[in-house]
Amino acid sequence: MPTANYINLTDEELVEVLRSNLYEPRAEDVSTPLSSDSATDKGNGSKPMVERNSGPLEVLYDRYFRQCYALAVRILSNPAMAEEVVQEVFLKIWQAPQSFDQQRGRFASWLLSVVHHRCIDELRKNKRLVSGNISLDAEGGDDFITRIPDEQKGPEEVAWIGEQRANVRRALTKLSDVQRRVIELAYFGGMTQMEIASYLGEPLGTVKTRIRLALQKLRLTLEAEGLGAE
Amino acid sequence: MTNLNPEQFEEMVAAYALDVLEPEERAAFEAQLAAAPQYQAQLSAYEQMLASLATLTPAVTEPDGHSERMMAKLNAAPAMSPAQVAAPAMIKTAISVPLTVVLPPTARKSPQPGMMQRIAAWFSQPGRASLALAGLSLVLVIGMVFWNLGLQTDVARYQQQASTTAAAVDLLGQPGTVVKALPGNNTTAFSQLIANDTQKRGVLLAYNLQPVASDKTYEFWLLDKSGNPIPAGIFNVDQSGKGVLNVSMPMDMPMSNLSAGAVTIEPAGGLPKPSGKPVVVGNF
Repeated sequence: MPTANYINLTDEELVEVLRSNLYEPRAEDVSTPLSSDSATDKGNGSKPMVERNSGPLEVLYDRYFRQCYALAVRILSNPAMAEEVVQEVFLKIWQAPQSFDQQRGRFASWLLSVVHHRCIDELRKNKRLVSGNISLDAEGGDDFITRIPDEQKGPEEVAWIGEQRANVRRALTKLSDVQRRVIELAYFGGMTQMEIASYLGEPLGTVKTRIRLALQKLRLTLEAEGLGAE
Repeated sequence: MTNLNPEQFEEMVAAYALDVLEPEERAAFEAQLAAAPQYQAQLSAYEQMLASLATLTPAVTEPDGHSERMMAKLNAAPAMSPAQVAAPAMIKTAISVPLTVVLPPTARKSPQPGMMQRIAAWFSQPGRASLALAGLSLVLVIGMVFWNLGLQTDVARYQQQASTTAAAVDLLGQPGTVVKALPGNNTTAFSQLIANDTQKRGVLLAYNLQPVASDKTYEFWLLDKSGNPIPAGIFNVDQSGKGVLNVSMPMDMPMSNLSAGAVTIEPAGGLPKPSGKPVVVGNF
């Protein structure tokens, strides 16, 4: 799928190519879907306003679909909906690559963050929180986030993902069980802090404090390892 | 939502990043966030950190045919106008280097042949090649010495930062620990004081502070209820603007008697009384 020209570019460079549209399609790229789209003029006889090459997006999609999809499946517990949400995010990147601001960090972090927010929106829109809770419990939700093996994926996995996984797992061990639990219920369960308080039968103020301290501790630990904010 | 104090703002930023606010809370906070650019850096830091949680998901099998379905969606996407995709000149300049990777070889500039010929001619003179080699070796040795000294300083600083950060993580797990926010004045500079009154321990974390010249330092001050500043330690920041400080908490004064904290830029070694304007400041 992706043209070889882009494979060695970093994520951020690929987004720059997408947003600048400086790249002129080459002959070998004419067979890519968007280029062929251009060639047929979408069947209406008029030239498209701008020819764009989808190669950079295809490389990004190949690099991150798997991780984004795994996250979406984990939150939504619905493979078809998960694929839909992830592809919708990539489509948005194609249509508005300028929505990624490099000043705010690494592309992969931003992408996963967008997918996460979209999944939570979808979960809440469909009021699937109840089944989300069941899913968490069914997978031994008490501590599943620290039990994922470090080397669970193939060699094609982006190195950054493996490093992040190992480091965030280590950082999570610094949290207390109750701190880990609220993060898990919020991040993977899509619960608001009021819902977490109700679910755990604890005062809202306690849950708020627990979330704040847990996030600060996690952030400090990751920053001490040179991760987190870059 | 009423106007938030820095500590409440910090709590809301974390909750917002984790997406645990109720819809109406979220909308109200977004309005406040838009008017407080100094918290954007905080928000970005939390968002990036939380993205690392996404890597913990169990492996799943990719659905058959998903790439083809994605391509079909791209094909169906409406074409974009030049105005929609054209980048500002600044962006185009910024990507000119990486783009050389994908540009045809003919589009790349060659070195000027005249200069290369002059260099080759200079080296062809008798004895000049040996002279150049000796000079180069000397420069390399001197460079290595300075690099090594710089490296040792960096290692010492990182070790101290790591140790202080570990103390902060430890404090956050102790009962009675409070976290006070010290935002910058319309800048992205931001600090947090993590303090435990019982243990008389405190750690200051600073973000997005401008590195200062070698004859300057950052100094942290605690202010008592009368507004009198108490020196609480000096620190420097790294190139990314981060700094940590083991705070000297006043032994004879409980936190309840402190009204605020502030960081100023002072001459190296610090001063007993502040002479500079606060870079970050927060009421307790």
